[in-house]
Amino acid sequence: MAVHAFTSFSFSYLNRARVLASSIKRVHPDWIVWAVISDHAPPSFTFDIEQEDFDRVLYLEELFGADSDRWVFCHDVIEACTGVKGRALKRILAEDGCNKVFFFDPDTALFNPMHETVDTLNTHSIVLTPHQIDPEPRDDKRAIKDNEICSLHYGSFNLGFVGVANTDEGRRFAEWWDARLTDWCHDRLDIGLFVDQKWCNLIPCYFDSVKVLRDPGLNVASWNLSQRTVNFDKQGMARVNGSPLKFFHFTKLGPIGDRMTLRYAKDNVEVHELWYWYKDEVEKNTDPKIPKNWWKFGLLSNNMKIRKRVRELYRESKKIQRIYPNPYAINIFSYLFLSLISINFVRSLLKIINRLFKR
Amino acid sequence: MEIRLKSVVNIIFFSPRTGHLRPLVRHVLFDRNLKGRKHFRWITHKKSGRIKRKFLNIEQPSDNLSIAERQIQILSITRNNREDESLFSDWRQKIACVNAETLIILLREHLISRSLAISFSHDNFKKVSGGIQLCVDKELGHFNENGRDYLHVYPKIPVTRLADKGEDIAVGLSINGIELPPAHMSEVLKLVRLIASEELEITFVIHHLMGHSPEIIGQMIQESGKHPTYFWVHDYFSLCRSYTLLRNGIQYCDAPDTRSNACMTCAYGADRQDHMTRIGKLASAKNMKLVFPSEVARDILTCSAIGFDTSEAIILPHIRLNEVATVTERSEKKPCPKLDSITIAFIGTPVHLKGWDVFRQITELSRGDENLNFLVFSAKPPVPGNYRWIPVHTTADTPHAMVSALENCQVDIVITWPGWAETFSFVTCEAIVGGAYVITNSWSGNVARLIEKHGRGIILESQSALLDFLSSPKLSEAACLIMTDREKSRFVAENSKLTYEIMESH
Repeated sequence: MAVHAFTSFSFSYLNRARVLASSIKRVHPDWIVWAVISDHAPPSFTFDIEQEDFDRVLYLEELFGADSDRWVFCHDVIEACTGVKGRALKRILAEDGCNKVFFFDPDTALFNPMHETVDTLNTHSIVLTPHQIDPEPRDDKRAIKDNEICSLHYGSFNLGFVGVANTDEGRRFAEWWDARLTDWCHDRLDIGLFVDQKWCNLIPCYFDSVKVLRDPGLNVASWNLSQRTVNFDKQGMARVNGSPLKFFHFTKLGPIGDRMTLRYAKDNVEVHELWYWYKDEVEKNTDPKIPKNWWKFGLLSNNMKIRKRVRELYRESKKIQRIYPNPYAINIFSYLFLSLISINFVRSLLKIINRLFKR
Repeated sequence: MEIRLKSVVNIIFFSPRTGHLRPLVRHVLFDRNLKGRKHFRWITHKKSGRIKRKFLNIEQPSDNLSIAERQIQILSITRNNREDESLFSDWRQKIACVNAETLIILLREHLISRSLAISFSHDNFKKVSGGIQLCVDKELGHFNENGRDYLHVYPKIPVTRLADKGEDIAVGLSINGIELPPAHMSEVLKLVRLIASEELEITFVIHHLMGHSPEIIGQMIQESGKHPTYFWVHDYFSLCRSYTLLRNGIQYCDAPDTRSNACMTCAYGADRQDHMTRIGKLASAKNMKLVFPSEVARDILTCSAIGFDTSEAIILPHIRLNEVATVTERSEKKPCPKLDSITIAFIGTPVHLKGWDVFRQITELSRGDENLNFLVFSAKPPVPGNYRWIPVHTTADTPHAMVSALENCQVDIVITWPGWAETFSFVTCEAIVGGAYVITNSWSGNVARLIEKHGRGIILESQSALLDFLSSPKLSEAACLIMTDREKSRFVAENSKLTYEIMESH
């Protein structure tokens, strides 16, 4: 009975996913690692799984079939890469011999074995890690705003990690999550949605045998560094508040991540050591043949970039979906038309005109 | 809107953006060493003479960093500063080297005996200052004084790692202190074969392997026959490229397993296993004697290294301290005199790994305290701060320069706060011989061991303990103690003759 782990990414995040895969293989060589790719490789690059630390690969088309183009057109890159998680989870749970499945965001890296977490899935069906496990001090208003209030906006649990056992309850969760992510994996904070993550606030409400993991060595990231201290012990093991560091979530690699790390890691120099290591690893695993910010589904067939509001318009309007059943093949004039009517002012104007004509 | 004069003055003095004193204003109010100028002390100091609180943390020119900020700066430099391998390769190509036949002719002109020591270290001891360089210089002197020749070999292009396997590096050479033209190691190998064939008595001494190829040195030793070889462990280069075992150049790591998280995330960890294996193979060669300057160094290597048999290791401290009584009669216990000021010093190169940042932090926190007098004894000037710089350069020709300087300035306390487990510490010996009380930390290696043995100092567990000690009455008590100890006894240094002493005893 095997443990499976998967991550979901586009090719621009392949470098990070490679770091994750190699760290999983280093710490848990017996795990089966899946790459779930919501992208097509750039023309100059060939993705050869034999040369990678991944054991299996799943493409978006395999998960959504004939409907994949229409589905992915309705989502931006983050929504798409997170939206496939439910269906990928279902698919992997259906694999012969699959006992437990873990999902990791591609920008995480494992440092030490996760045997306790794996064992937790012997008695529980779903394991989650919250963004924070310790309250911020009352007088640290900035930390409360940055971390706790942020969690209230974006979800209590960080879905950069989830563990599911192949039990009835685990499969029921996968079924429900797939249904929600297929229809509602959107970045719409105005209506209370944040891609896949905020849906998981409901997990303790809907499902039994859910375990919220409060080990400080799990899912260490900038949003909980204010309450966690990283150090290396005499044997060279990285520890967080005394507990071995299992995995670190290197979120927002770049100036934003640096700023948040500086703000909350403060004098904890070991955190900066981990970040420098990660940046070097990502750089080593970056293939120059993959253009920066590459995402095949971000472009029309004529290589024109698709605006987010056009995607949202397509998603919301069944009429437009009927008119353009193959959205990636629309011509430039149709696209410009869609771009125009996707502008809120124009849409409001059209609504008014429509009502006047109806009268 | 009412504008208050005080807030206007604050805006003029302090940059509203940073909250720090504006550079021009700082230059007017303070001198280069950041002491308040005489005519403006009424602005910067209180009537009591103490500096006003708002001027305590004056922005230093590009150097006002906390210890953690300094560590992050060093981390950035360590991770981003890769040696430009292509540049070094280019330089190596351009060095004009001679062949073995030319070398043997030049060598024979300077040989004075049929006994030759061939020593390897990482740089030219004549041009670079340092502990190992001083050892090589002194050793050369001992061999020459006793009628033996000394050939020194060092990489012409210094690099901070081993040379690649099979790389034929260009080396600098000197015979009895006289420079010879550079040659490739393959030519030096031929030279050694020629010398061995002439049945000269050869002694190999390895002081440092940085920049060398251990395979070629091993081959040289093996082909020359059964000649004794002494492998000095002056630092921990045998365990890691980071010879002070500072992970990423900032934190002492104690050489953990190469598969550990610490090694994985360290800039020096990637090739550590291969590095240790290559040196371990050389160190375990026949007739190889490992020599340690202290038990601490031996213990650390024994715990961490592979292929190092330390069971027959020789421990030979560079300096032995002997206590000599200065009073013959037992005198009555006198009350401690009132101390007007306590002189606290930092000795050696002001760099992070020697505890310079900790010393600087102490001097800044004590700014305005007229009872404390801070001095820095080093060859090169440090950045300006709340201390006075005393230029001192200890060489083989002036071995007592530091001790004399400490005695002349009547230093009471020396803070030796290294970030790593020192294998020996000349600085501590100099401080003890100079009559000072040494404050150090528990992870300072042989520094702590020397203090435990000779009692002229205190070992503290943390930086906060150090700050507490310096701001408490214990500081005056310590200064008192050293004054009374000086009256009772002093320490004299007995320098070892290094490898020559080992040869004499065997």
